[in-house]
Amino acid sequence: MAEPQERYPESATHGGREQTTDEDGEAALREALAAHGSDIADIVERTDELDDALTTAILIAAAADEDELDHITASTTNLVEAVDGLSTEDAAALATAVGENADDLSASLDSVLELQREGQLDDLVTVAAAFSESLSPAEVEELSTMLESNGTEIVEAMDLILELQREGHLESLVDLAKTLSTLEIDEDAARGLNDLLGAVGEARRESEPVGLLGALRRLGGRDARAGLGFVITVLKAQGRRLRNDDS
Amino acid sequence: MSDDLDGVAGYMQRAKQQALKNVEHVAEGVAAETLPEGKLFEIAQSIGDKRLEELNVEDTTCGYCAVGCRFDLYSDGEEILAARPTAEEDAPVNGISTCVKGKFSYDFVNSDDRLTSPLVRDENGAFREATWDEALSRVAEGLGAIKDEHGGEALSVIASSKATNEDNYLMGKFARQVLGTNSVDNCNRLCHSSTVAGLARTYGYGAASITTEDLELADCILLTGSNTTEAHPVLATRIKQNVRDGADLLVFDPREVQIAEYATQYSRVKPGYDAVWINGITRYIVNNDLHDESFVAERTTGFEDVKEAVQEFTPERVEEVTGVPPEEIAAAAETVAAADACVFGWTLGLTEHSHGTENVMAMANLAAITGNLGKPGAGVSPFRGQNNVQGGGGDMGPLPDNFPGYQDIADDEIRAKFEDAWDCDISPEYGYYTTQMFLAADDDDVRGMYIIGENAALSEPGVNHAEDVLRDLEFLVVQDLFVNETAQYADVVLPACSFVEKTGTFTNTDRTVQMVKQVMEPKGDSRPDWKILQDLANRMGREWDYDSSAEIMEEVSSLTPLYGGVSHERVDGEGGLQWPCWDEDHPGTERLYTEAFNTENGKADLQAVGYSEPAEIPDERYPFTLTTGRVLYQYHTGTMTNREAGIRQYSPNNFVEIHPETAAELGVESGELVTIESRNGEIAVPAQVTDRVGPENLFVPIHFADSAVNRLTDEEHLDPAAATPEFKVSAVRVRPYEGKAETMASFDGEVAGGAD
Repeated sequence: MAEPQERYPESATHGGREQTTDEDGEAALREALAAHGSDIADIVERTDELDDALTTAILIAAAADEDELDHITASTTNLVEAVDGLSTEDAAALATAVGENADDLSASLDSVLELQREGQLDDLVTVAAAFSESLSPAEVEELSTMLESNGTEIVEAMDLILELQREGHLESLVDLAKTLSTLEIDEDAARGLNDLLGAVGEARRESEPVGLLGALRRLGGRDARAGLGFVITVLKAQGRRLRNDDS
Repeated sequence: MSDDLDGVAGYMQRAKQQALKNVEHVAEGVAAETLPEGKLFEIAQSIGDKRLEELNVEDTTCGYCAVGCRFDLYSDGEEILAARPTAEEDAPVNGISTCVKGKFSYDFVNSDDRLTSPLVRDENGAFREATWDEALSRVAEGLGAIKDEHGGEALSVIASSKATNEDNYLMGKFARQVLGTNSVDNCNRLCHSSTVAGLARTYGYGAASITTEDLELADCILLTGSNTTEAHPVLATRIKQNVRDGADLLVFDPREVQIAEYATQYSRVKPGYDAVWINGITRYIVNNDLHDESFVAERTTGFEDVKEAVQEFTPERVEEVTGVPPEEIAAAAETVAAADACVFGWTLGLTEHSHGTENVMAMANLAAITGNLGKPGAGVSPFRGQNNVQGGGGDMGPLPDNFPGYQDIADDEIRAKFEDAWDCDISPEYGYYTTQMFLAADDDDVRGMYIIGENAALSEPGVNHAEDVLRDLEFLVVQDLFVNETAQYADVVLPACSFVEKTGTFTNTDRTVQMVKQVMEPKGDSRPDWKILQDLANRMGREWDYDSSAEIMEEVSSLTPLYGGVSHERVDGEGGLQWPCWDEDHPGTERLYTEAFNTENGKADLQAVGYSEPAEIPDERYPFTLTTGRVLYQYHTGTMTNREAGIRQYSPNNFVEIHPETAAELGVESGELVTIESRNGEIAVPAQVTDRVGPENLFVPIHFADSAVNRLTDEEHLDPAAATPEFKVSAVRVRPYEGKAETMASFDGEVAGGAD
């Protein structure tokens, strides 16, 4: 004889198990990482950042074709310095620490590292974030349209911008006249880029460092997404250009 | 450490999935703002292809109703992401069609309250989590103690028609071999057992004679007691298509159900008098010499008895009793007689009565005298309800009177075959039917139960009584996906897994055995039923050693002539096999009775059926007739569908259909609460005023726990042959609800398990 019992331990359910496992998983991850230096632990502290970074990685991968992907991942040289102190040795140590599950973990981390490893991405995200603050959707659209007719020139401009950024000459970006004088583009394009680069410079000055997390956090709104869309479009145009160069 | 690592890997996996979810939103925005449409499709396609590569995709058979739809299910290992059409040759019944449940309702698989660990009672009677080892030990001890003290007959098993054929075969074997009881039954008792009894008695097989295609080949379809569009939507589509192309559709039903909108003729009948109007049609046909004389002469016996028995059902009497006017009886009779091929379809409106078997036999007579058996486009078609009630509930023999393949346990030769194969003694005495188990428990003839995938606390008739029985059992084991209303009474609850988490076969309503394939790993520590049963059997002294459900099917086919040629390899390779399939060279049987009936002399043995009426007839105190049934977006007691947010949005609440005249007399409008009271109990539900029901009738669906309609039904008046309860007729009274409305505000009840 048993009286009916509506209550039972939540831990015996899928919901309870999922919660527990999440906590256990995060704890185990923290533990494993703590054993390998504070730099790695710093990364893990920011699990939201991992999520966000993965999101972005996938987004980029989703929108790019094979050549563009190759370009994103292969044109980079110095992976280690790109990340907040995370070295390849650390990454390897981490993978070793998690033993038989190294593949899963390192694959996920690789996604993050791939983002970081190519400085472009960080820059692009920064541009997108800045962009979102300065342009309305209509303006973004205008820029997109403009890209259709002036893609090559703008790609060249972007290349220049990105190179300058990588070299730390961000301030010089603000000097639009100087930049644009090297290119032959029409007024619309110039105005668009003017807006864009102004925003980049401002963002860099005002929120130093913007960083991946900061940039991503701003990507919630519709405008922010539109900005990111613009950046991806640029990236794709760049990919086309590379293909054309190859052929 | 390995557990921790699993955790790490699992955590990272989920982080990635979360990112995937985020990206969809981001990508939408990006696409909308910046990309041309052509490019958008290109990107969508490449993303789609990439993602599909990472998913597990299997063709499988639906786990909702028994139509037997097949489709591809997509899973990422955590949840079911999509159901898409599979290759058409692998989906003989549905092609590319599925209904809303088969397409979308999979949230139950990983709902938060899905049970993933065994539960046992602690010293205070509260549930606590347990290991499988402890839980199985407790079950072995609990059931073993009753067996030792009172004999195996004091135990009973309720098997699950949700589970596979292989699971069900072992449930029957477990009851007889391990526990030593013939009291093993399943939800068929609450639905189509009277169909099985009635058809077996007249034709030999307790199953549909048609193949599904016949619904499209028929010139005429007579439907009764079937809310086809809501309970069997995919079959309804095929019927509607045939009607569109010119077939006649006759619908006899107390409710003007949606399929009636497509009918050539709809006749409203009073609930509980089906044999009367069916016999009225038969009388018209034989008295006007419209029957198929050569078929009757060559392929039936008992025609004269039937002819004599139907004479009392004059048009006037039929109208008086059932409300169907003479011209409608005549029109239906002439339509059926004029048709070259007619299918007679029904569900529980015909069967869930205290005389359901007689109703079915009356229908079987009508089909036989008009020669509508064993040819394309003609035959009888009970639409089965629970996904595997035909195979698991019937064919596999978790039944008190039959071994697998409807082999009678009282037959010495057959019993000896199983005793030899299973290495045990088996009593020739029939065990208790499900409904009888609950009555026997009152007399301590049943002391312990093992209930698998069935929510008896809601689905049994007269659930107030069922609850008392469950509370008073000496030992109760429940094996389920959830701690449903029944499991709340259990001493031990064992977590089972769903059809997407295991491999086996289902047999659908037209006898097609089809593959069920594992699409994802069992949730948590849940296990397939067959593995649980094997572990338990071995703890209780047996040596079961099945490595796979395919091995179990090998054993089934070796002992079951109907399934003699059925194997997983064949079923998978041939896209389904219809029984009888006698041996490995037999192609299966599309249509029954093309040459002979499954009787001793090969002829249909027509049975004279006289007058019958419901056990409860409306009177002054209880003037209304309550009938119960289903709605499209819900399924049985709702354990699966009520865990689906979308479904709940469409169909969250219980209700009662009341005719406008009745509502006006009561002073009740749609949405207002009414109290419905029977001799067995009362419930309060919101009114839905509609002329879908007649002025003297009420309708309440069966899917909702909080205001369970089975508090009103009666557990004592059972069909004498099949022990089916009379769910379809209860005498009730109704009044505006008098309590505080706020206390009744929530009707979106927890729901659970169920009948066919």
